[in-house]
Amino acid sequence: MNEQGDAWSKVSRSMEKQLEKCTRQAIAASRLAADVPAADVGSSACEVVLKKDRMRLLHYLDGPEEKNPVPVLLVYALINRPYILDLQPDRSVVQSLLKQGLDVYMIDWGKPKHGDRFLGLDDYIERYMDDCICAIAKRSGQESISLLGYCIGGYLTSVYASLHPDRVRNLAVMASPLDFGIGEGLLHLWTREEYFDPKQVVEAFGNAPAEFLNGGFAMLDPLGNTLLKYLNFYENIEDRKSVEMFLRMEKWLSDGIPVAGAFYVDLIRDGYQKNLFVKNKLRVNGGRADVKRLTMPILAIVAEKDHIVPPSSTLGLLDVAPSKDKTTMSYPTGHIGLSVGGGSHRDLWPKVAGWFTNRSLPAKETR
Amino acid sequence: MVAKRRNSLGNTLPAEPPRQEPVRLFKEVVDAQMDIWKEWSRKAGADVSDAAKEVAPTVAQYWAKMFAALWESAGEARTREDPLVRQEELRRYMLVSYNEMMKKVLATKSFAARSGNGVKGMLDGVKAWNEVMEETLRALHLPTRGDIDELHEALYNLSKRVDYMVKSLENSGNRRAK
Repeated sequence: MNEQGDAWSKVSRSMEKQLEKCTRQAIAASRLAADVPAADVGSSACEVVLKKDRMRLLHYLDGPEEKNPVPVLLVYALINRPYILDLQPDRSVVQSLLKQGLDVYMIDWGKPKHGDRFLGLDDYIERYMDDCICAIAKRSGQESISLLGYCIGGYLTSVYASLHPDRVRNLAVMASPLDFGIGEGLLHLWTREEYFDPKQVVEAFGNAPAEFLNGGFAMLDPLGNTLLKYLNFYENIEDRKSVEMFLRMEKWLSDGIPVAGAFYVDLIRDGYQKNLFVKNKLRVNGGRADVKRLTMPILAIVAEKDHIVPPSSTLGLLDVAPSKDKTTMSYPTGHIGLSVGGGSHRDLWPKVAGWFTNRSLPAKETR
Repeated sequence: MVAKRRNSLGNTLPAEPPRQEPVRLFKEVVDAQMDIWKEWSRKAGADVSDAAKEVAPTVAQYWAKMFAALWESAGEARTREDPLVRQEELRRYMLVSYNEMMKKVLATKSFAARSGNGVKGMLDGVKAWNEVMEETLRALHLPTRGDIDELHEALYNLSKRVDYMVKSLENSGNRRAK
């Protein structure tokens, strides 16, 4: 009888605690609904130094007066908006690099319209990136600059560096799909030639629609992206900072942009299906993207729990590049956590900034 | 031996009366339809059976783990200080396990093939619709997407040529300056 009484009192105490927690969460939810915080993103001060078609080159103005002479150009992917690298002041790759005295630029690719469906890899490399890099070199008085590519931006920067190594001082790639022949990762399986033809997407839609791409990414973590994250959000609804961060992330996730048709075919066919770049067979505008020309310092930043781009896909570049200065930095986080995780900004980004700074001495003082 | 049938004039009638012919033809059509359905269901069944063979061990493994967790939880519920917290943890564990199981299923070749076919079917439907719209607009003498795409392509090629010409001029100017 005593045991039964104890059990019932445990249950009733537990129910009381749960009820109290549910009430607090419900009150916090109703307060949130009445006063939804503004999800301000990309708030670092910047100026537009170059505009070409839909692309804009941004130059960030914060940071110390005296900056490192070798600028760093951030190149994000062509999927989703680049302000993920400047999501909020304490979770901003841009701010982390500026604080260490680096001169930071970023390419905003813009949103392709139907008429942009003919833009391919060669256009993005030779017409847009090359113009940006030449403009930055001219403004800074440097012959070569540092590049940091995130995700498919890392593929773009690596291909560019193999075509124009004289213009790249240091190359950093972050969670980038470079070696597509690793046999890991759901995207690598789903885009195989026997299962998927990218030309059909382009023939049907022109550009690859954002909804189509986001649907595929959501399926990489089905319950995580559709249910678990909302449960986590509700669990932390009393924490205002956590709520603001969640709203910013949701804003970015829902702010998808289409990918230009020709580039989509180039990426899937020449990248995911044929893996031409690391095999040294990729041709861009008639010239070969020669991985043997990647002799500049290379930094590979990988996320250990990345389910979108397996770390081995990024590290595959280090196996083929002949550079004598190769560094790997890994962090136990996911694909997006590298750029917005609190731990990444505390532990990883100061090291990345230090890597750039140490390799940005004037040419006569290097090596 | 079937006796020959004769009419009132003593002429031999055909072996099968004419009214049997539609019945025979209908039976042949039904048999052909049944063959088609059998072939389709045999193939679909084989596909489903192949897919099931590929994912069944994974699904069974994860369900066994989840069941074991439920059993263990039921056993220790009385000893826990806060039994409802354990329920929350268990629910979270079940959802995460189910998510992991789904990821394993999505990583099979069967799923990749099926989803590829599904996407292809959807895209074929969109293309067919686009063709219908093109023809309709053409019949109404209105500009079509194809017409606009031709213009876009011409503009793209033109702007690309201008870009490369400008680069070429800048490069030769730089070389002369050096």
